[in-house]
Amino acid sequence: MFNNERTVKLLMLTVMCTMSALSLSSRCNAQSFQDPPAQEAVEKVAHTTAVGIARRNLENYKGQNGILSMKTLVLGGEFRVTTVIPFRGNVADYSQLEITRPVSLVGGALNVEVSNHQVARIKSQFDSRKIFESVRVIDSYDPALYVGKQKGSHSEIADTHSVQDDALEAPIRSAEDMEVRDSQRAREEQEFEQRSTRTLVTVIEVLDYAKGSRLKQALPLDLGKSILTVRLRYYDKTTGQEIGRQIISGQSDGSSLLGPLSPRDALSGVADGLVDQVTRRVAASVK
Amino acid sequence: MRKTACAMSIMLASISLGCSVRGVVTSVPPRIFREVHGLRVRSYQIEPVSEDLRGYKVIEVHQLENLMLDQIPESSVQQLNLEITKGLRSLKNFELITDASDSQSPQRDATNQSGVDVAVDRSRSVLVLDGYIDDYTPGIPKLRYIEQGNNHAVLTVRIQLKDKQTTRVLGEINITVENTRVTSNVERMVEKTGKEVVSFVDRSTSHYTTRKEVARYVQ
Repeated sequence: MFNNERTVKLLMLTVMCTMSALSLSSRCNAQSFQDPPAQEAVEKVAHTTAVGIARRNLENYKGQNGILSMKTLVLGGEFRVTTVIPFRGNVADYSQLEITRPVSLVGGALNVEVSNHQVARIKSQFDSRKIFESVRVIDSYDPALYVGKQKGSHSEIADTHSVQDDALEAPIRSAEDMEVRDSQRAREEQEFEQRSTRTLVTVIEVLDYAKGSRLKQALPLDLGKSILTVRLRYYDKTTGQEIGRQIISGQSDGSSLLGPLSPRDALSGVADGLVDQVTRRVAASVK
Repeated sequence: MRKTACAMSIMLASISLGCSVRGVVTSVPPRIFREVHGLRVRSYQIEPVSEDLRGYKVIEVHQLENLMLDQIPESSVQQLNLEITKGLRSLKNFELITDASDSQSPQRDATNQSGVDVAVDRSRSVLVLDGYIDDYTPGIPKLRYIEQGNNHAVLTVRIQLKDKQTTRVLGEINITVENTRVTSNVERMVEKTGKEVVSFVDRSTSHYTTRKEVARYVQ
């Protein structure tokens, strides 16, 4: 008797567990088939949160000294940065980054393969830093196109406002109405700015490039230096306004402790320099 | 115990002396080499000159557009423009050299006219020389002494040769002069850059490079 009751209870418990497991798994399957956008949204939120956390962690970020540091002494790949136009505005406002493929101002010295390698290295470093929600590589960027559009949209908005609200024959409204109108206008402008100032475009122009030779670097004759110098123009994508300009030059000449065996080259210096400069601005904005 | 300490200190002293001597010995050849070849030039043909430019007897020289803004001293910009104009005047390729910044009173090239008043045909094709200052840094001379870091001085210019009437670019070159000498300075680097620009103009207007040669050069 006792055994029978116990067996029945065990059987019922097993059946219930199986049923619940089946129902849960079917629900999960249903979710995975029916709601891919929901999953994407969840992933996006998670990514945005990760970016937010990464940006908050930048509070104690100290910039790299590319000219002379322990890293460059041991591994080489030093870099210099010359800021021609200091950054304008708040870089932390930009949640997305677009990097153009390098424009060669050195003729055939820079081939497509090297160019792609450069941009891929820079992208991967930005990806690992996680300070932007997305980092994309684009073929080119023409700010002139966006400047025109922006002017047009601004003037259209202004026209609409002037026709609707500021007509000469319109009656003067009450103070409350005007306050409401002002707050609405401020909100619209804020929304417009939020929409428009989200993507930072970095245009890369190669000014000097020498691949270098590790064999020559091994000789005590100051030869075979690897050099890469780029001009970076930073644009607000929507307005087409240039918000900063820098020259970053990286080199590796085999004078480090590791000498020609060092894995770092001129591109390492430039990539480090670019990521460091942008991170500094984001960190400063976060602070 | 004392003997061991003495032996250790002698050993350390000899090692450090050996290292420093080795450092000096190994750093001497590159230092000498750098002093001899420290003012280096790298040039890249962006648009190779593929036409015969020997027919151009008039050249209009424009000031280089400064893309480095206030990062390069005004004196260096002036020196560079002056070196180019001065160098072009010393060439025998042109009968008339005009300065675009001083277009009100175009200066005749006195050296090339040999006292003869050359009547300039207005319909004659005019070659325009203009360009950009793309990069400049004075470097860090103190770091050059200890041979560490990114210490060299650099000046990069991009030079274009155009036909004035059609504004077509006939040739474009990127010239970078790098100075890694301890004993040299920025003025010397600017002077060298000016000479390189003049040399490019001279090559392009005195020698006809065939298309075959251009293709080979580009490859």
